[in-house]
Amino acid sequence: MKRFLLTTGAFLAVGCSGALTAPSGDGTVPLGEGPVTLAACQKAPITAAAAQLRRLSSEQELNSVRDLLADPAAAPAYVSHSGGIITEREVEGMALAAQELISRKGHVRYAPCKTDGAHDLACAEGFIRAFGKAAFRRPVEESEVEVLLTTYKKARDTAGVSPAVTFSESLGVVAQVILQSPSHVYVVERGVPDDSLPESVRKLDGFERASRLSYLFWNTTPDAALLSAAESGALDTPEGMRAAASRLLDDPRAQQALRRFASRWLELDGTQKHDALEGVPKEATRFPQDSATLRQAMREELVSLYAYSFGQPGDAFQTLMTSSRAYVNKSLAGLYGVKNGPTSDTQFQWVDLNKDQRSGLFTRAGFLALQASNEFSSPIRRGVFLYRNVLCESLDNPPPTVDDTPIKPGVTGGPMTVRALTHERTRGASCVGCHDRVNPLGYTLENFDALGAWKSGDVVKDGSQDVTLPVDVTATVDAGDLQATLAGGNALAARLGQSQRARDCHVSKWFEQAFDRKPVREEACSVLKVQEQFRADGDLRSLLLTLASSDAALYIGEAQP
Amino acid sequence: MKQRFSRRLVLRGLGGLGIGLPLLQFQNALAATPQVAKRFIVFFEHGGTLSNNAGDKKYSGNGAENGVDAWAPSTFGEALDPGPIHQPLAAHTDSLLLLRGIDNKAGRRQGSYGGNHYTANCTAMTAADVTPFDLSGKFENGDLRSKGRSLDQELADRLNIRHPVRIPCVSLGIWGHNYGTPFYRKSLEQLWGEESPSKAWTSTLSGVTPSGSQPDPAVLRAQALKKSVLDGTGESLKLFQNRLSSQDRQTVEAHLEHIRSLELRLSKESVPLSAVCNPPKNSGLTDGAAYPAYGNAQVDIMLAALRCGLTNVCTLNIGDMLTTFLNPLYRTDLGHSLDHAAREVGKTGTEANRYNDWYQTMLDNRKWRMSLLARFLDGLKATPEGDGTMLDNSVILWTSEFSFGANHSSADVPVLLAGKGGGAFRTGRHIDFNTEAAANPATLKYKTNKSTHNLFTSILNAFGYPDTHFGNAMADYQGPLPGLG
Repeated sequence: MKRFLLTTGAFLAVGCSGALTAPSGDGTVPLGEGPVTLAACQKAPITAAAAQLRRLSSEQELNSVRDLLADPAAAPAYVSHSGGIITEREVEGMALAAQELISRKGHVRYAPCKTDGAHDLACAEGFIRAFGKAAFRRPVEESEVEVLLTTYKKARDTAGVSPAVTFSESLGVVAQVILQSPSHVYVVERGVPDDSLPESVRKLDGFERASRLSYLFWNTTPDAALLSAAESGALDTPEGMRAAASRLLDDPRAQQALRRFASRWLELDGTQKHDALEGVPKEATRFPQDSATLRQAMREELVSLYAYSFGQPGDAFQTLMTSSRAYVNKSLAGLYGVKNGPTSDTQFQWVDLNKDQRSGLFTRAGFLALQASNEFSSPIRRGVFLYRNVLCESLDNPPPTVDDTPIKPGVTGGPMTVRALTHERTRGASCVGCHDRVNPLGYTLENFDALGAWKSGDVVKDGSQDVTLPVDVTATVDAGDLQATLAGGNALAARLGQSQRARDCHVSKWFEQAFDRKPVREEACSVLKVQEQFRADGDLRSLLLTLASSDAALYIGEAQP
Repeated sequence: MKQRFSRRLVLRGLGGLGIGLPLLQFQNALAATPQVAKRFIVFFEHGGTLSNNAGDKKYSGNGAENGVDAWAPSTFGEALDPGPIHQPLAAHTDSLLLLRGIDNKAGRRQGSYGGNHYTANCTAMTAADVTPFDLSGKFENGDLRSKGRSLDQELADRLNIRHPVRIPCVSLGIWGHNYGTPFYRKSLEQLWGEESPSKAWTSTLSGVTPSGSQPDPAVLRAQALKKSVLDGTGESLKLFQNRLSSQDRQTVEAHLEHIRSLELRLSKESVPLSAVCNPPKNSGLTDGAAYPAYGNAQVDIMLAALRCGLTNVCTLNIGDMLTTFLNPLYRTDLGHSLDHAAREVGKTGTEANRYNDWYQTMLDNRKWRMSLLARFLDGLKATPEGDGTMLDNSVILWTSEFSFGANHSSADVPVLLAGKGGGAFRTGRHIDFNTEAAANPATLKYKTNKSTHNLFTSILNAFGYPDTHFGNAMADYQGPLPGLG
């Protein structure tokens, strides 16, 4: 299984017809090698990623057990810390978490009898089938019932303890086993054969599709309605999937998926390179208005703008990139200079920002403050983010020998603007290759200081004096399909709103969240089709519905032997 | 040393490739080797130390090439004269063996820049080949996995045959920024230490009572139920395995092995506890706790696990800066890690006025790390064993993936041994394998053919295992390090 590059847009390249091979019996033409194009996709047979076992993330695990046990306050101390093969510490953590969860008795609602009485084998079996179905996200197979019933009996018959193990304790043991069962902990997709599909492709069954939808939109285990839909065959068609996806998206729980997407995409929870938005330090003397409350408001504003744009009919992406609407409390309104805004920090309301200064997501304080240093704005950090996360352009890391001290005019360089010092520090021959692409994007945002407030000049030290040097926000941008001289953040925002590369990139980012990995070559056509639609309509809701009913969501390849 | 190998076993060259071989081969080694080390402990610090090594040379400490060697001893003679970082260990000088001039050759040969983050971490305790890890596609470019297991795991399995214990290796950690664990259970399989003292206590010491006291019936009942849960989970995994492709079966096999290991812990509740067992109460601290109490709690759990005879091997994985230890001003502004600022804040660097503060912050952090080792050595030394103390029969290794973190240098990595290793090591000494240092101990030239491969071989030998090699084929020099005994 080859991974194809979404980051470079290489698969969008035209003129690859030579890669097509001869039509097969059913009139389809396999994709062959080389870049994948939409034209080739129209004629290509259905392909799908090879099946691979996937473990629920800690967040998915937590949401799932809370829902399974109808216990929203449950907070088992289990953390998955490694993306690879499960570690002993994780297995032990799971065991402790299961013990803790079951002690809260949420599982007893699955028992068809009173659980504080005498041992009852039939009731134990009923419990296994009911709780097992909910936890495994599909009916329990007979061989599994057998193993779990044996577990029940062994617990019941434990030797050497007095008094004897109770019915309730035995069910607790079974429930703990169910919560640690691979059928719960891992997402298994085997699919079913279908005559209309190529030999190597299988159709995901209704329950497997239900899990995909549920973890995509709610990041939790399927609810009863979704499992019923799976059982009834309602998810067997793309239309049925779209309808089910639509129901899930209309549920308030889908807001969590949007918030989670925005937080990850915007790196609000931190990366290897920087702390979370609430943790990045700012120099107090320079930014007396900074506070923990302000940081929380910044996060709230960004994710709210994402959710707001998502709900807009029509070109939601354009709205996201260019809207001047903002959800603010008193502190944030103060930073933005909004008059007649909220009068307290606990009160948030939608306001219109000064359209001459701020349009779109990337003119907002949360982004601007996160991608800045302690004292000064950082065209490099802002540019790198836009280049990588918004345009999906690839960029190597700088070598470790590079001088990566922050740009501090008057301190780590002469009394000049941030932009001038940035230019001076990155004009070396080994730097310009990347920085000529990255820096100009950041230069257009030089009207915003390290906390995200509007600035018209840089205040820098000249000897013992503070001097104010006017900023220059006009830059010639050469990044992806942004090839223009742009004057300021609004000009950048307008271009991003129209950028096909930014739209393609956004689809890729959603794919990564939905499938918890990058797409593989067999999924290229699904991605391209969603991208084609999103380029044209910019409709975020439609993006998700199309993704949820795409071949990538409906089918699975044979597992690699 | 020679008589230690009087009974030849057919083990030549197996080294770190012991994976999959029947470990029974090691069972009889002890009979012929009455005086060998009994326990192995690793303190691993991420991000390197205050070093001036730049790969094939050392920095003078001026200008853009700033780098200061606070890891070096104060004087360069064979008698150890602790340097700035080692001051917290001054009372234990007689128990230390400071080894300089050792490269992580596996890291240097496989990594760009002489050993980038991922390569350096993967190889630091394995000396193995590395391979890209991008199965899920969600990792940053460059993330790698080791293809070999780490020395601690190799020894944990061997020693567990010679002296069966409840927990083959107690793996703990102190939370902080890092680019991957140096510890590998086996090829590709990372091992991450428990970073919450509270959870570590539960996992290691729960149910362990001071010697002589009766076990609590409620604890016994809970253990019986826990055994039922583990049995059932194991059966579920076995059933599940049959339905999978071979690649996925491997994933589930690892899961099943961990369940078995937890079962084994339960089944060894009856292992007699050592007479000096006096476990601490659960500190209740989490991985967000303040550093001094947090670190001390982890060290105390390791000490108790050894004293109570619960394990033969312990590891402590100490995360780097970007943690609560650090002055917030340094958290992003001086690069993504304080180490990286080493060159720029230098005496003539771009922020020279911050040099003193930077140096003190780094030194305080590294000395704090050393205070953990001091506490640990205090504990072992206070625990009688045979004619001496537990420290006499232990090998403690302190190391890191880098020497000079700012330069990502895996040359001249920090290597500090403590404990006599049952007589294998002559301590209280300093040995520099930098061949350029023979003529001038203070030289800025640097050259060595010694590698962690050789160090790890020496450690295996100290335990009476006659291995002649550990790790991959990238060592320039073969066999154990000379002159340690």
